[in-house]
Amino acid sequence: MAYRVLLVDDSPAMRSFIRRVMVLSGFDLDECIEAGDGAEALERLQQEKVDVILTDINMPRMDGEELMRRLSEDAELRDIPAVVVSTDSTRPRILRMFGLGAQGYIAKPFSPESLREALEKVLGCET
Amino acid sequence: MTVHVRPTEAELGAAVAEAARSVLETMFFAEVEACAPLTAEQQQNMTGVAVQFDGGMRGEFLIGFDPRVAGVLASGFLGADEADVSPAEVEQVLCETANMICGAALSHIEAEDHMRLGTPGPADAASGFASGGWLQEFFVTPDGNIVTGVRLG
Repeated sequence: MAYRVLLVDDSPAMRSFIRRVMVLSGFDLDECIEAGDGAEALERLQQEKVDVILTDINMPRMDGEELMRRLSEDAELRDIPAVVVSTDSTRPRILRMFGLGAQGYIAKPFSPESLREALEKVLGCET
Repeated sequence: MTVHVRPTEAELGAAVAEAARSVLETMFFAEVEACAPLTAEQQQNMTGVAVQFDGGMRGEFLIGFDPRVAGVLASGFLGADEADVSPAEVEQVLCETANMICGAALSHIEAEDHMRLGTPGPADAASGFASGGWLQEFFVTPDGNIVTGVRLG
């Protein structure tokens, strides 16, 4: 089964890197939909169905914490698994993001394998 | 109540050095080794990026790249030929590199605390480092040098 991923990061370079690494790691990617911040991610989710969300935290306009909060409050969106990808790997931050409903947390820098494993884990699949 | 203990220079330097190695090797597949301090002349033409941070610690992170290294890193990160990578894309990649190194180092030092990173932006590495007060680490790659600096406020 191929998966549709919503990738939320304000850095076009990082979005390009993650998209490429998902493919190189062997993850079965159907389509990668991109958003530059949490607000754009919510707009895209009104139009697109996705299997998993990968989100950065530190972004302008609406950050990853607020995005997770909005997702958790939305009955139609709260069941989409979300994985945080961030440079911030402090314990309080990780606990806060899991508390907001994140199902995975990848600290940058990360290897292609760790990205694939995190996606497989939240999707309950083997690629 | 969180009691914040300021790290020693050795702890901070080791955290930045390990973060730089880890980011460059894991995300860029770059060969990187620590090297002897560079002279001011050797840092003269470096492309720089600065990041402000606060939280448990407040300060500034500055990184300088030899122009050749900057192009090679951007090309590798984006999976594109160097000739096809625009200056704006090089800048994006260097800003992301600075963000990752600074974030990884602070997360290590402040694992039980909190931190906030500002938006990374282009900076004049030579004059920045010349302003003094930096704890610097020096690296060599097959394509040139990289210098990092941290200055606590």
